[in-house]
Amino acid sequence: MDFLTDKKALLVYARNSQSGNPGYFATIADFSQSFEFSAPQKISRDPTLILTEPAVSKGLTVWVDSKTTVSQTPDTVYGRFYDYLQDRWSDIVQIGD
Amino acid sequence: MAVARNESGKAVVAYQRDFIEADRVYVNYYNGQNWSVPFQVSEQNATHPEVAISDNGDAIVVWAENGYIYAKIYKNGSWSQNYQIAGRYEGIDEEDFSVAMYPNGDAIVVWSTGSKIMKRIYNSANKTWQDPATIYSVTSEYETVSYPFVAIDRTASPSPIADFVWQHASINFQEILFSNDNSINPIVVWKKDFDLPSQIFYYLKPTSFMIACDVIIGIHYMEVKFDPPHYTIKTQAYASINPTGSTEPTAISNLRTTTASSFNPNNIPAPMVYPPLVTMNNECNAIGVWQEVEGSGPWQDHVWLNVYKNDSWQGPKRITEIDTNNDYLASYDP
Repeated sequence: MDFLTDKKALLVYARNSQSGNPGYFATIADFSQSFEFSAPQKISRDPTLILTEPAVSKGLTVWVDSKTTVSQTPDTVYGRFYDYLQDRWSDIVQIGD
Repeated sequence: MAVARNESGKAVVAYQRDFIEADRVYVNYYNGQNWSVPFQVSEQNATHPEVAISDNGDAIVVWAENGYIYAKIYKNGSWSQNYQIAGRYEGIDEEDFSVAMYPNGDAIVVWSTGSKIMKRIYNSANKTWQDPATIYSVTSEYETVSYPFVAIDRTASPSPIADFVWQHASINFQEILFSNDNSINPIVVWKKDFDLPSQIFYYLKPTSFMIACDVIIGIHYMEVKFDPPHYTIKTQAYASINPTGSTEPTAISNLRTTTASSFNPNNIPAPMVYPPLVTMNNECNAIGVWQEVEGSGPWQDHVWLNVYKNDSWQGPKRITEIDTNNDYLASYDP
């Protein structure tokens, strides 16, 4: 959870569901109006294989996922930038090896 | 995993990778346009990285390594040598430290020795570390201090200052202690324990600390009440504005109560809430977030938040949706 501006905050969490849509999700809390937040949006790829706690700072969100869909492959760190001015997420970038 | 980004878009990310021969910490720096290649900070058994970044793009990574605390500074495009902040002989708990950076690139690391809360400051102008200094020391052998957290209050005048919180415990009490010079509007959330049998006590330890953001101070505590012989569990998140003042703590989550005859006090209790996290902006608006177990079995984990605005909490709201398949789990990190 992190404030983007004095009026908006970004919350990121991991969702794990055996039959649903596991992955990392984000929602925007808006202070400018009453107590509101956006519908959660999945920000990780399909499928997301590794779920741990994500981290966020000033719109930069990082999380752990596996490189491929093949089991036994090393997991690594991926990240994504949220631009609050344009309400847009960047492409997913691989940060770790 | 830890991340910190400054207003100009520069960022630092650190994470632990587990290998058969040793756990290692890696760090990546983002200069606003490109990511560096992953940089391994240690060959030894390194864990629990924390990071911070300054306004000018200087950065610091701090980690635990074989019982010691180490730091590495990023400045002008390169990383410094590893610097030993504190040693095993001082009784370090490997997860018992926190780091923050001032806007000018000075840094501060705090840690617990079990009986003392210590700090060490990095001077970016002459690239030197000050000697360790004591923030707080217990007065008897029955007391302990743990889980220190440091954050920089950027709005303090005439210059930014560091705020500290930590847990102070003895045989018959647990409390959160707070220390600063002239901070303006810090917020502290915590988990409060009472009437607990010992077998649940250790489950309730706070496990993580939040990343600094402007006027903010946080420690993760919430209330969990165990009330024998009825085996009733009540869970609730609490928050207090201006903990140095007289404001009484206010519940920010729904009070959840269950009376379950099948409950085994040796297991993890449920329904329950996980340690709450909080962040605050310059207008003294705050958001508290916590994870909560709901239902009467099978249980579902959900993420809740509550907003402090116009001098009052606006009411808890659940972010995640009820999963009719009953296999829904959520977790969060600030």
